[in-house]
Amino acid sequence: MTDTPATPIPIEAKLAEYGLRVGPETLESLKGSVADLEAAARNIRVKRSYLQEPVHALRLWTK
Amino acid sequence: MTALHDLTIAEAAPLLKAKKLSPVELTASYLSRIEAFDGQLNAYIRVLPEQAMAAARKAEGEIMKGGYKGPLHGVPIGLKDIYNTKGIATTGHSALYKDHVPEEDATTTRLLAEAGTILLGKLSTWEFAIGGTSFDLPWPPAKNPWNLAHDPAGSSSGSGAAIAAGLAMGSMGTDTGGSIRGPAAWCGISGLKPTYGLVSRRGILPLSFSLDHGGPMCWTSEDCALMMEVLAQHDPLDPGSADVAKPDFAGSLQKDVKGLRIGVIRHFFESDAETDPEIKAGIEAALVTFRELGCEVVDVTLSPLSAYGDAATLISRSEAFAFHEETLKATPELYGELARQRIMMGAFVRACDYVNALRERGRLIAEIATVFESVDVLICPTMPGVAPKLGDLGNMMSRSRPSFTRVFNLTGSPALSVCSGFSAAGLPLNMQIVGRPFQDDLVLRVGSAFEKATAFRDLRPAPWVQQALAAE
Repeated sequence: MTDTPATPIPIEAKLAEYGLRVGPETLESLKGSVADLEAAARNIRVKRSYLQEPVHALRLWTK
Repeated sequence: MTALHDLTIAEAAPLLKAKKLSPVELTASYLSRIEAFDGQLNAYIRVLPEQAMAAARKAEGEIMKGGYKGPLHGVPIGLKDIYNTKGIATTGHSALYKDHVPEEDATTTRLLAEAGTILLGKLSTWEFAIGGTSFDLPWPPAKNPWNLAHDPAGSSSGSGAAIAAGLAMGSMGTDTGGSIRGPAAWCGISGLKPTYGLVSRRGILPLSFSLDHGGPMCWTSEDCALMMEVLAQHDPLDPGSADVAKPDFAGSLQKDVKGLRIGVIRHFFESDAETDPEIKAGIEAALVTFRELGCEVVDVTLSPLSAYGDAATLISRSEAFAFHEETLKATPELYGELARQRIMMGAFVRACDYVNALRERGRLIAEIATVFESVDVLICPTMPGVAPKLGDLGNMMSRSRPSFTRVFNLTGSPALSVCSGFSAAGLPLNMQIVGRPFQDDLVLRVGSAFEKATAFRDLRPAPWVQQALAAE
């Protein structure tokens, strides 16, 4: 894993940015879900070889 | 004599071909059964009696004139209501699409019609294949035929419930994280998520374009193979469609499984995810059966279940939000609460995390390919437990509950759920069989061999009929 932690996602600001509207109960539940997303992102944030670049769409050649 | 609704496709097909069974009689039987029982089960959103009977009469005429098309000719089926049907509403079980009437069929809808199937109706789903068992939508959620108080799983909830209850002979589901295999598991049927690209996605309402798969759900794996004979076609209008030779589904079923090497991903269900002891016991008993059939069984190791789940979550949330963003912002009130929440999560995935998830996906696909150098199929549970009470699913999307199914949406591998027995409470147990890309035929052969070697296909969920009648 890299040493630099990502900045926590500001939930209310993000909702406002996207113009999304939620009630208080949804907001609470959303906080748990966003925490899960942040944990998932942390776990896959590792140094990677260029061999792992997702460039399949640019395989323009044919055999 | 077997009741018409208990016939499998493989049993009905020779009777239809030999003109000993009429498609009209068969379709009428299913329609009257739907009329009698679906008010309690909610498997169907929309039943199409006039259209179905017209199609049945057409099929009967064709067969009588010697124009038999194959094993699906005259077979009554249902489609999850995210498969586009020309001139028939395709709602996604959502108020947002309540009046959405497509101008053309999905490729799969067309292929099944051309094969002579009879469309009985459109089947319940979790809203847009993501929303969960919801009670705030225009239609109620489907129930589990083995016990109406229990959940059939989703998102292809109606597709699973209809097959188990004998309200369709075959059905189509879709699977982005387990939505074919979960309902197949909890409803005690067979459901195949094919290899990514083998079955066209064109005309199926999208959820996550790189994880979505369409596939068959039937009482047996043999029936799923008969449907795959028709469904596995290259579609140049689906950018994900694979231009590969179709696996020999029918031929593969004629072979046995002796000598196959089965890899058991034991750490998935022994340490990575909390798994019901009855599910584990079902897997162990199944492995005994496979040894008796002449298979070699070995343990294999993959990355922890959470590694697959993390990458799949980031990808699926991002892609679902990309599809729904505009309508979610414009008309959030037209989504149910669960779908709204789950789709909204995509707004919180950073671009760099989506890209990293794609990189991780590449690594995990390479890893599983390496494991498949030494085994023919992999086995693990489909679901960690049996069906809970209706709607009592908790947060299935939580990281604390890693999924056995999403793994193979991420890798694109063919994955089949079969019934591996029954719990003490009489609910179906489950097992997942996974293969190399485009070896869907082998996966179905292994599933079919297991079903024929055990007696689990002999037991139908009859008690639900009594429950339904008692509630009338």
